[in-house]
Amino acid sequence: MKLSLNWLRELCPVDLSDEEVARRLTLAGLEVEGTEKRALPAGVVAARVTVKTPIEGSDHLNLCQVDDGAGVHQVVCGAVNYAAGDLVPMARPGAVLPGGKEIKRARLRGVESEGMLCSARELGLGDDHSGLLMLPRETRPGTPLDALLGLPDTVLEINVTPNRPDALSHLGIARELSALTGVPINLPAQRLPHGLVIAAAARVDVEDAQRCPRYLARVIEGVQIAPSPLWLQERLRSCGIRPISNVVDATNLVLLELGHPLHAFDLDQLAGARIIVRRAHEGEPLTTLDGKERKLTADDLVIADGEKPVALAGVMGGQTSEVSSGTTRLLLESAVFEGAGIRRTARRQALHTEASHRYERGADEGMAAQAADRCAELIVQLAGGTVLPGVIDLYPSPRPAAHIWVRPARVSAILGATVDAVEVDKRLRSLGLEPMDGMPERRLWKAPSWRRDLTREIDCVEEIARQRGLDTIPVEVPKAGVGETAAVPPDRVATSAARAALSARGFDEVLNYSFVAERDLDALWPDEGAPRAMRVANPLTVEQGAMRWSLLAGLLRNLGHNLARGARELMLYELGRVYLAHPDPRHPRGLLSWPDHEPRRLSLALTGQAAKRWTSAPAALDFYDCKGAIEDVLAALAVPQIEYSLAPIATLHPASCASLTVDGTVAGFFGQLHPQVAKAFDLPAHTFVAELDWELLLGKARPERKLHGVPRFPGIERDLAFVVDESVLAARMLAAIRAAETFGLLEHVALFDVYKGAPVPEGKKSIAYRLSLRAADRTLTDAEADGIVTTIKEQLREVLGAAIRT
Amino acid sequence: MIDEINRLLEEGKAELASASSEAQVEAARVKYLGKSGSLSALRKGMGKLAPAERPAMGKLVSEALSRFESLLKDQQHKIGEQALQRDLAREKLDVTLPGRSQKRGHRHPVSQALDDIVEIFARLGFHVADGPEIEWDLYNFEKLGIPSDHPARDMQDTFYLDLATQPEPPPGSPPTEGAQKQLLLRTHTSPVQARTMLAQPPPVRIIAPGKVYRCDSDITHTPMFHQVECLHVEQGLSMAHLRGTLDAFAKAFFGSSVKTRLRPSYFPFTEPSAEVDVSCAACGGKGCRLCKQTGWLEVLGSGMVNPDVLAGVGYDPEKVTGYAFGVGIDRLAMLRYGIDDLRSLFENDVRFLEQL
Repeated sequence: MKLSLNWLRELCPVDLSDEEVARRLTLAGLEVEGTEKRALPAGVVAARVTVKTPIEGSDHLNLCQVDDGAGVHQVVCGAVNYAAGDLVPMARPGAVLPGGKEIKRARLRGVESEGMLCSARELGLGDDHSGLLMLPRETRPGTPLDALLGLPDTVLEINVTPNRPDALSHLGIARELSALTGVPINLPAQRLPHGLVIAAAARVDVEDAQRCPRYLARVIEGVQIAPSPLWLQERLRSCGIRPISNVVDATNLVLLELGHPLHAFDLDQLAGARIIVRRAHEGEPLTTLDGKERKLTADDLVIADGEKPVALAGVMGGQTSEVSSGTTRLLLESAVFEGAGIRRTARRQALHTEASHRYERGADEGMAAQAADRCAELIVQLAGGTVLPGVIDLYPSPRPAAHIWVRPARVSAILGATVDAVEVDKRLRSLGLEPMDGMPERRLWKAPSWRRDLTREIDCVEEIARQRGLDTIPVEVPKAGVGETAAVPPDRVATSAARAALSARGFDEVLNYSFVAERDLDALWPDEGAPRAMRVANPLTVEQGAMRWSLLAGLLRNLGHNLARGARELMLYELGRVYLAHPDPRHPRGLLSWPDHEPRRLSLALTGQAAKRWTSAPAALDFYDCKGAIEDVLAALAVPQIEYSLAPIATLHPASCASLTVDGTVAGFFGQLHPQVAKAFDLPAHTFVAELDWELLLGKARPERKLHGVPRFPGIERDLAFVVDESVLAARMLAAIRAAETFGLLEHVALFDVYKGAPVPEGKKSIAYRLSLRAADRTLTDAEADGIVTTIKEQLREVLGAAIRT
Repeated sequence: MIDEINRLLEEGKAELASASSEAQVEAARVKYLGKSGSLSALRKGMGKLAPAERPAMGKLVSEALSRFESLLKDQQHKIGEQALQRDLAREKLDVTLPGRSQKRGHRHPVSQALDDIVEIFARLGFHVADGPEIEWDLYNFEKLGIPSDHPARDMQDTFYLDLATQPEPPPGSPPTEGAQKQLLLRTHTSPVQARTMLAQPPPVRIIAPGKVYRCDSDITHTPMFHQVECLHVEQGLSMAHLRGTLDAFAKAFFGSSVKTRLRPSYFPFTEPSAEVDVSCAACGGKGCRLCKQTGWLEVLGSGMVNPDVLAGVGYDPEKVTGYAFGVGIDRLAMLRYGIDDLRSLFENDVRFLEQL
């Protein structure tokens, strides 16, 4: 909300600097988010146009003779909305306009111009640039514009939280400032005629008293519609409201001053001179003041006349009863509507107005009469006419005031600071609460009508805390109870170890949005049976329309983004949740665990070529870089029983796709991207990815390590190279080697070479192993080692047809 | 014979002296001391001498042999020393060439900050709790005192899920009206508060880190971001404990010179509520562009757990009190690393990521 400090000081004349006012409000919970200094440049004065003549050869420029009080000057002007005799703002040479433009004597079309006539926008007063700003005819030429507008002023932008509708006005903020400083509020009272005359002029019926607890109306006759005075226009503009006419401006001024929304109807346009507050009929049309025809629902509350809806209650007026230049008789509405209903209507119609904003948060029923009186008086001041004696006030069940028990001991306990009964008393009174009953240690308080948010003791605790300042609360670190000190949980420890392993290998961590383009998810699975994504009902863009069921959609986009920006070697990983439409039954679910439908995954994506280094030849990243990273991660987790097998999956190339099995359960897949997928993401064919089920891996992880002593007896190493058919898998050979040695002397087998080509025959490959042999209880002899090697050779020949390469 | 000894010794001496490599020294050794070496031969020749001559001559031969051996050792040592000197004097390496390097990976700044925050709170005695991101209206709003027509819902623009078949909402959910949706992307980590308290009696001392979502995107907002929720409910907790915990956290994360300030605010599920500012690290609180000349940076929302929330999960607000807060991790990461556009956190450009 925008707040004029000049206006605020009229209501609560504090002797504090602008900065101090802003600071105090902020520290009391009315956060000042911005400050705008409103002032006019020096050298802008009122001036009367005495002669206006078109400049030859120009279709829009006029040469004007202008009287600025000090003399007559000639000024060239391109605006069209004025005539000789009008008073307009003139910037004299030397004046610097907002935006830094300095006015100079200049020649336009060969004609000397000694200043500039200005629009509202050129003076920084508003957005209107349709013509010159028109000043009242009675203004004396030469009057500085500042004086006419009540400037300079400082406008604060205040963030009013939704619980404080009472602070959505200058009066509301003044009340706060008054409570903080003790300076009393200065609000003029109105005296309007009483009587019953109004009953003959208009009639009001409320059909839905629940949605409209109070409806109050006054009638004013004989008004004359005209522009408002400049000071009033400036007040509205400074608070972000466009001036329209004296009557409408008066309702808006009171809205900003007292916080209560008002609406003026042209009484002569109300059929039957009556108002009915009722629900709309389903589909009933209403054209609102913004010119939009709206279809209403039975949940919308309308103000109707004898025939039709004339306003969307609490949100916006209708066109048919709008105050126009010919209006003379007004029905002034000052009502209270129920917040939730207004909120539903405003959201349905996507119509957020100053009125709906306040009603949604809760209007002060006690303010309705005062606001109507203040506005009626203002209208008569601005537009003439008379207020008919009497008021229509339908308020069948006045809202009871909240009564709250407050215990100073409880206040102290919550705040952690001693607050005695005297202080509680002082602070609650300053906010308008009244003591009703009870003793100092427990007193009953009545909340003021404008503080609908105060209903419980805790609400009063908060008020006291705000008033005394939160910096008065001591700082105390809570003690951890014995045995309660929390440790970082094991799954976080394991996850950190895995991240460290990936960092060490050169993988960069990315974080993608959980929602992605649905077509990207579809592209990951160029085959039947693709998983179904859950959709976001109201995404910001279609690129964020579907919840990811795989991290790869994001990672592949990351590869593309970086390749397009010149990256050559990309190794990325993401560890995060995926979102499954069909829960994964392997994972638990319950109030505190949901991994069944939001399991974490660890995914890798890599492509390109390791950077050129002088120590090694550049090598393209491939399948085994991907697998190596996975092996490092699994080693960090210490998961048991790892197996890899060729297993087709739609995302991967059928010749280069592996599934990972841990302890008998499939825990992920990896391999080269399927050519179709690579193409869909515009990526090189040699792109490798992995996606691992992190919940499952963490379940299998064994973060606790046990250390063993080192062997006491020397071992023997033997290198062996076998020639086998190309189709024989490394895992098969390893298993055969291990099976051949049955005495437990084969400590370790390491594959160190794979070779194809001469002299190895076509269709064959050579695979070399280093065998580490050792006995735990003695020194192994060469003869024993020879025996084991011979057995292994024979076994492999028998089982796999392996020949020994010499 | 004596002459012969002397001659061989002199000859060998000269040969050793001229030897310039280990091989030449070895050749000399073989020539004089080998099995058929000439000095060795003298010993064999002793048999031919008269028995009376043998002791004296034997002594002379032995002396000659040991003399030669000693010369041999000296020469070997000399040549070894020369070789070492040559080796030390050989061409120097270019020590300024870069070392054999290994590409290093980088943590994402948000995930790094999140880990650090979890560790800080672990030290302060908080356990890690968690909850779903696709959340029921019940836990995200209702249980936190934000019914469906509440204006506080405007504070958090919500993403809803569009499912072909809406699953049955949990008991106690607000009535479904028209197209109103029950499943949403959680707008804060606060639903973990309700879930945790519903699942266990007090005391509760948890943090809940995770992703949250709001329909908003500009330089300081992304539609997805990260929060850590902190909740502590126990007997005898006051706002002083809230301040103490916040202060300890801010000092651990930003450094011991940082100051914190509480400013009254409003959150439906806490009361009293407060925004928490930390003194601007960029200018030390003097006022700069980052802190908009205020010297303070807003980092989180906090407060005492609203008694209605405690009652709503079956706790007795007269017996236990609590405090809670939610920290925007992305914002903290932004402040810590001096990032000026929040959106750059989720572009995942390696030129950005590899700076950490």
